[in-house]
Amino acid sequence: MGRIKEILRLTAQIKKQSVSMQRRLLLYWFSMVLAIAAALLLILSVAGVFNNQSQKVHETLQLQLDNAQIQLEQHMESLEAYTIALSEQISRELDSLLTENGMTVADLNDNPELLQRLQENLMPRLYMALQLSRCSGAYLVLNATTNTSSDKASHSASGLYLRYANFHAKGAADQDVVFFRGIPEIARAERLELHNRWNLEFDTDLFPGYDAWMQTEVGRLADSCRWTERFRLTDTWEDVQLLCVPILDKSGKVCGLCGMELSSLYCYLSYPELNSSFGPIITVLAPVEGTKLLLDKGMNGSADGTFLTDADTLSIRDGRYFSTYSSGSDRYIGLHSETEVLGADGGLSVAVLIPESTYAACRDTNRLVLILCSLLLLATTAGLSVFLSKRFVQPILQTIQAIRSEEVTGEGETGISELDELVAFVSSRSNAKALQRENVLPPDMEELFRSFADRAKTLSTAERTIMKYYIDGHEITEIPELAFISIHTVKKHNSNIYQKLGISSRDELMLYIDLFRRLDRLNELTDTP
Amino acid sequence: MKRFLSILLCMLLLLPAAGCDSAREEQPITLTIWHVYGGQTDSPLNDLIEKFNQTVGKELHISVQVTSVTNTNTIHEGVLAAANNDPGTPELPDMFISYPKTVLAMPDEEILVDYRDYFSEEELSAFLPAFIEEGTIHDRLVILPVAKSTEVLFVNKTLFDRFAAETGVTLKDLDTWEGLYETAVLYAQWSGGKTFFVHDYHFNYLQVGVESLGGTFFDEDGIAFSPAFSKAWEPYAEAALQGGVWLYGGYATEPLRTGDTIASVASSASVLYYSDIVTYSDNTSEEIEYIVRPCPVFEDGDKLVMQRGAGICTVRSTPEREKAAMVFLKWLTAPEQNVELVTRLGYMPVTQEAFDTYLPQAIEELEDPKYRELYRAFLQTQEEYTFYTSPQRDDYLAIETSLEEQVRLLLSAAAKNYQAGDDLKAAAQAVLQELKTYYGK
Repeated sequence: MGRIKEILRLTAQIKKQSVSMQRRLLLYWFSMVLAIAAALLLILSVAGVFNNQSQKVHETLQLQLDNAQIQLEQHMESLEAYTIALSEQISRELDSLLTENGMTVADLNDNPELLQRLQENLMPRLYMALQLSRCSGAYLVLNATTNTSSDKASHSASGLYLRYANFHAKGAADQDVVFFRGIPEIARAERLELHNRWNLEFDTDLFPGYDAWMQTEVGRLADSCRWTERFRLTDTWEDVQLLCVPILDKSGKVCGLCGMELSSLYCYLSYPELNSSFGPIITVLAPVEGTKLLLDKGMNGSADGTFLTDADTLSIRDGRYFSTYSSGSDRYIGLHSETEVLGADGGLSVAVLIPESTYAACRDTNRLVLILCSLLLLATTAGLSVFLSKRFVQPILQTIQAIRSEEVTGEGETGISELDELVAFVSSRSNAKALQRENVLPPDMEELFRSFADRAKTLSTAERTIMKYYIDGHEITEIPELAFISIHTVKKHNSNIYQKLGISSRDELMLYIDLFRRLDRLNELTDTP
Repeated sequence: MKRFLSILLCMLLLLPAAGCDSAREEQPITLTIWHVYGGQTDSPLNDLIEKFNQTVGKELHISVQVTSVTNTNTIHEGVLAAANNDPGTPELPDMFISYPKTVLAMPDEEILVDYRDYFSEEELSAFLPAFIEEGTIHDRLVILPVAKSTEVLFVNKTLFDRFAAETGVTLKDLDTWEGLYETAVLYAQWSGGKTFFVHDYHFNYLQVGVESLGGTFFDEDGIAFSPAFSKAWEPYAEAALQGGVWLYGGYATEPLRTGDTIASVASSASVLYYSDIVTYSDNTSEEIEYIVRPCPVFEDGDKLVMQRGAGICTVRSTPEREKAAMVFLKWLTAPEQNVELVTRLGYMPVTQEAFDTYLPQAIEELEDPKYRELYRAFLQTQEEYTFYTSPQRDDYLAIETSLEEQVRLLLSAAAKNYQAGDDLKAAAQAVLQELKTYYGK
C-alpha cells in the first residue's frame, strides 16, 4: 500500500514537472499513430488479411477440387456410356452371328474363321468407339480361343485391342492407331500397323480380374462398370487402367469384356498441373484406403514442377483448412473427395495437391511482407510525428529566440495568429519597460518631436538666434539689448518662429523647449541644418 | 533512419516475388521429350531417363518426362504442326528427336537451341566430326547426335534352316540382292505362296541401290529414274510380282512376328522390336533364332549402305530450362551412358571415346544372342562398307512417303494380276513405267 502511494506521489511529481511542448506533441502524435495502427490492424484482421493464407489456400483447393471432380466424373461417365453402348452392340452382333450359324459362344472355340468374321464385323464399332471417346485405347475380349489345344489356351482369349500409338491430348482426329491384339489380317485390311509387341489373343492371366468377371452375375450393365487398378501393360512402356463392362450372351451370362483404356500418359496430358499463387496444383484420381492415398493404383495428372511420382503412396492427415499428404520424403497439402467412379475395390477419390514447400514459402513471404509493411508504416509515421512536431514548435522556438535577442517588432511574423498576438503582447510590454528604462519615446511622441525638430530647421539665422535666447532662459524684453535689435523686430521674428514651428504662443514654445531639454535633445533645435 | 527505410523498402519490393520463386526453384524443372527409341515397347531410353531423374536429375532438380515415343516421321509431322501452331496440335516439347529434314522444313529454325551456345569446343570435339557436321544446319548446330544406325539383314534362322535343308539355299545367297530375290522366289514356290522377304524402306533400297550402281537417285525435281534405277528395280519388282517381297505397309518386324516372312532388311535399331517368338494364325507359337548379316549389295555395285540415326533438337525456352536440357544431354551423350543406350537399342555411339573405350567391352557383355549377332554384323559393315547419308532436301520426306506408297500400291496391284507364265520382265517394266508416269517422267 505504501509502495503504491509512493508511485502515485512520484507520478504526481512527474506531472508537475515541466515537459517541452515538442515532446508533449510528439507523444500526442505517436499516441494517435498507435491508435490508427491498432484500428488498421483490427480492420485487417476482421477482413481476414492476417493468418488467412490457410483460408485462401483452402478456397483455392476447394475450387480446383470441385472443378476436377466435375471434369473427371463427366469424363469417366462418358467413357462408361460409350462402353455400355459398345457392349450392347457387341452382344447383338454376337447373337446375330451365332444364331445365323446355329452356334453358341462355346462354339467359337477352335473356330478361327468365325472368330475372324466376328472381329471383322466388330472392328468398325471398336474403331469408332476409340475415336469418339476421350481415351488412349479400346478393347473387346471374348471368352473363346482360336486353338484350345495350344499350350496357352487356358489363359488365352480372342479379341481386339486398339491403342493410339502417339497420343496427343489436344486432338484425336488424325492419330496413329496400332493394332495391339487381334487377327493380323484385320489390321492389314484397315491398314493399321501391328503393335511392336502384337499378339493374336489376350493373355487373360495378365488382365486384372478377368477370371472373376467371367464368374460374375450381371444385372444392369450400367451397374457393372468398373475400372481396374493401374497396371503396367505388358510389353509396353505405359501404365494403364482399363474400364471393364461385361459383354453378355443372349442368356445374360458374361461371355467377354469390353472397355476403354486410360494410359498414364493420357492422364498426364489430359490433366495438366494448374499454376496457382501457392504452387502447382496436381490432380489425381486414386483409391483411398484408410489414411492412404494410393497413387500407384490411380490415374494421375501432370505433376510437373514437383517431386510427386506415380509410384507414391501418400499418408493423409486431416487438418482444419486442408489435409496433409506425405510420401515420406515430400509433403503436399490438398483436399480429396470421393467420386462416383468405381474402381476394382470401391470408389475412387479425386485429390488436388500442392507441394507444402511452395505453399509454406508463399505463406511465409506474405507474413514477412505484412511485418515489414507494419514496420515501414510505424517507422514512417514515427518519422512524420518527429517532423511535424519539430515543424510545429519551430516558430515558437524561433519567436522565443527572437524575444530573447530582442529582435521582435511586434508585427505578425510567425504566421500563427495566437503566437503573433503573444509576441505583440510581449513586445509592447518590453517596449514600455525599455522606454522606462532608456528614455525612449513612444513612436508617436518621437514623431511629434522629430517633426518639430525638422520644422525648427526651417528657421532663419536671425530667428534661430532669437529662439536660442529663449532656450538660454532670456525674457523677450532682454532680447533687443542682447541682439541689438528693436522690440518690434523681436516680435516680428517671434511671429515668424511660431508660424514656422506650428505653435501659437511663447508658452507653447517654451513647453517644447522644456521637453527637448528634458530629453536632452536641445541640440536638435539649435544645430544649424 | 533513411538507410533503414531504404533497406525496408527494397526488402518489401523484392520479397513477394523472391519468396514464392525461391520455393519453386527448389521444385524440379520438368522437361518434356518426344523420342523414337523403343516405339511402343519397353524403351531403353525411358529407363535411362528414369536413371537420370533418380540420380543427377534429383540432385539438380531436373526431371525429364517422356510425352511421346514414336517414329521420326510422326515426330516430323507433330513438330511441323506444332511449330506452325496448327489447330489441335500440342505444344512443342523441350526436346525431340529429329533428322535434318524436319529442321529444314520448320518455319523458323531459330526456335531451336544452337548447341554451340552451351557446349564448349572441347566437348563438341569428343563427337565424331561427321555427326556434328550432319547436325549443323545453316551454320548452327541444332541436332545433337545421340545414336547412329545402319541397315542390316535379319533372317529367321529357325525357319530358314528348314527351307535351306530342303532346297539347298545358303545364307551366302543372301549377300547380294540378286541372290536374295532368287531365294525369295524359290521360297514362295517351296512354301506354297508365302513371302520370304520384307523391306523396311523400299525407298532406301532404291536410293542406296541406285547410288551403289553409280547412278544418281535424286535430280532437281525429285527422283531421277536413271538407268541405275531400272537396274535396281528389275530384280526387286520381278521378285515382288512372284510373291517374294512383302508389300503391305508397316514395319518389317510385323510379318516376321507372325511368320509371314522370314527375312528383312531394316535398321539395326529395329532389333528391339524383333520378337524371339513367332505366333501363327492358329495361336501356336514357336521360339526362333535370328541371324544378322550386313546389308545385301548388287553383284556389280559398290558396298554402300545407308547410315541412319537422328539426333536431339532442343527448343528454345528460358535459360534455366535450356541449361537443364543441356545437363541432361551432356549426361546422355557421355560415353558410359551413350554406350549403355546404344547397345540396348542396336545403334552405334557418337563419341570417339565411347567407340574406343566402352563399346568393345559392352559388346562382349551382351547376353542376348540376337544383339551379339547384330553387333558382329555391325562391325563387319563398318569394316567393309561405305556409309551413305541421305542428302538434306526440303522435299525428302514427301518423296520418301510418296515413293513408298506408290511402289507398294503399284506392285501389289500388279502382283495380283500376274499369272505364272506371263512375261515377267515386261510386267516389271510396265509397273516402272506406271511409276514414272506418276512422277511425270
